[in-house]
Amino acid sequence: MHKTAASPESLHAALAGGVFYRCDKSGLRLISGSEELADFLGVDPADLSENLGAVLGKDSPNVYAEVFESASDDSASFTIPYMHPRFGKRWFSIRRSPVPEVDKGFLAFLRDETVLHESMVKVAAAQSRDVENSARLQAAVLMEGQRLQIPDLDYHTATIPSKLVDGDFLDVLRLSGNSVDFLLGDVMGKGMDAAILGAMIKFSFARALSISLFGAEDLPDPSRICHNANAAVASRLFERQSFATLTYARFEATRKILKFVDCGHTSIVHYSRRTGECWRVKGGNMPLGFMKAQTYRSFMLPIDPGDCLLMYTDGLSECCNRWDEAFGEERVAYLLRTYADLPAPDLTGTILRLGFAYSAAGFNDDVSLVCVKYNGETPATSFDRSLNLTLKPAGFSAFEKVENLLGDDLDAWTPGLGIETRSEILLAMHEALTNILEHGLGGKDGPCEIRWRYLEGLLSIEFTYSGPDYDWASRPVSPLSSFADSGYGRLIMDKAMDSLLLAQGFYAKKRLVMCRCLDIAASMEANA
Amino acid sequence: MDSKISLEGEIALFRPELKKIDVLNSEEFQASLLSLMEGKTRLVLDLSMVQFIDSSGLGKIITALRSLREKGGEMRICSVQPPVQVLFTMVRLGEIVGIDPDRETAALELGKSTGAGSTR
Repeated sequence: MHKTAASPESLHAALAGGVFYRCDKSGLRLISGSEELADFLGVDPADLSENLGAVLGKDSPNVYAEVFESASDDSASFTIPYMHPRFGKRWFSIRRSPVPEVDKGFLAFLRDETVLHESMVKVAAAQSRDVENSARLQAAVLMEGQRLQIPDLDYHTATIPSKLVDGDFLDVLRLSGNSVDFLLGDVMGKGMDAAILGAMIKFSFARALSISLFGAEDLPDPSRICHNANAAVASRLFERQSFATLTYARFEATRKILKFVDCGHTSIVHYSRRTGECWRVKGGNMPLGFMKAQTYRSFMLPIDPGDCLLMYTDGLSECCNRWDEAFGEERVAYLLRTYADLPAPDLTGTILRLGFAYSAAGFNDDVSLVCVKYNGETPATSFDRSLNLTLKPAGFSAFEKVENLLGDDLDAWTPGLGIETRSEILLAMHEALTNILEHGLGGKDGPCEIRWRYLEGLLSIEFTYSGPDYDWASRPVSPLSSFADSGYGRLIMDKAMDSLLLAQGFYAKKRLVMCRCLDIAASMEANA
Repeated sequence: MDSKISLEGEIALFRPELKKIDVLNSEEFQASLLSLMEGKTRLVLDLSMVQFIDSSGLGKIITALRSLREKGGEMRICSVQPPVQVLFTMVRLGEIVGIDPDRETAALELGKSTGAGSTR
């Protein structure tokens, strides 16, 4: 039998519809349907009756034999290759059903599924290429490049792609001797498209940085960098109906703060060595690609020696066990607190291992982590004060004592500070205490630790208390033009301070952090 | 509440004799203000005695302003002390209500804006 060229029309006519036949239980002997089957297979009917197995299984004898040998009496189907004398290599599916009342043989239906099979092969090949290319792209572009050696900073990054394909991206950049920038993000979606978008976003950040740094005396603020990066990529993300969540964070060793922009990303977990507690910290901004002209706001978090920060993508917190229960942000925070003494690489590895063990079928999404431990020393001259108070609904008069104490410290620590700035800070303190008493403690008596610290031009004021899960700090600010009866406390705090955030701890603990940059030299000049 | 209340022509003058208007006394401040405003549509709020106002006090001033405007009236603020001026500048109160150096100027401006003459 020789293969001859066939037009698509004749191929369609010959193989369209499929063909029925009956065979014995072994599948080797044809019982009926020889004419139609022989025509379908392009062979002589006489060759089929006793040689059905040899003809159908000629190109895959093992498959054909195994299927019939192992077959029970149930219905089954399988696919075999077949070199057609006229049409070349084809893929036939054979579906057989038992016919017990006759001779315990089978009624079989043979169908040409070459087109479907080839399509599936092409899709699988494309997916495989996509996976491999994405993994290469991720390794080459999306993940951190050369590891940096930074004094007093122990950091580690890690990523586990879910299917070799990664929509996550991260970078570590040292832009000055005293600071290091971390970028961790996650593109919505999977596959090559997500990987390309991740590379594009990472590039846009590098470009935004280089533009902002050119001729500048100071480092550009993270909010400025995010704004410029978003302006560069938003329209492309719009076109692809995608977006990216990310955290851009800068650790400043001199002022001992983390200055960050949270673009709709998972919380940063902050382990405080001083108190032994963990805090989930968020800053309210939109993801990249939501709006073309988005204004981003940076937030500040004071860091002490021994503190540890963990940034991660939602593949970790959202991985589920076999009861479909998510790992959760709180569990991440517990792990950080438990293993905070480990060096950053071991800590990262432990969290990844435990997350992976928790998940029912491994990580379904990419998981990336950035762990930062600050091992510096406490400054020799530390302007740092802590108070432990019990706030009471009828105890507003106690505020005055706290405000006076803060005022005295400002006078001593920041001589030359302008009266306006001083008044603004005291107003913010007053409003913070009022809000904590009214909203944070739910109108009941409660302990509150207050700590303020001044370091290299940065004043931070922290309040730690326990109260209901009411995130009053993220409520929209009422502008005066709204003519609302109340709600101006947030407005005053927002205006008076450069950064205001409310972090969540364990057991309903809350931590309000307010920071203000004080330019004493400018203040003195203005007053002069 | 110790307050200096007087009526000069069509314009009510209110000078709270308080060092602070905050969460502790803002309700009392509002009650005095509303009582004075009854039947009046023009008000000068003289803050010469007040050294501190918080968000609660600010809310009461805004409420009074809204109430007057709903009746077709107007309010001006005068004689603001430096610590209070810090708050007003910070929240940009001057963008929604007139702030004057003294009560005479405030009354004059109020007369202009409502079409009435000066009260002095």
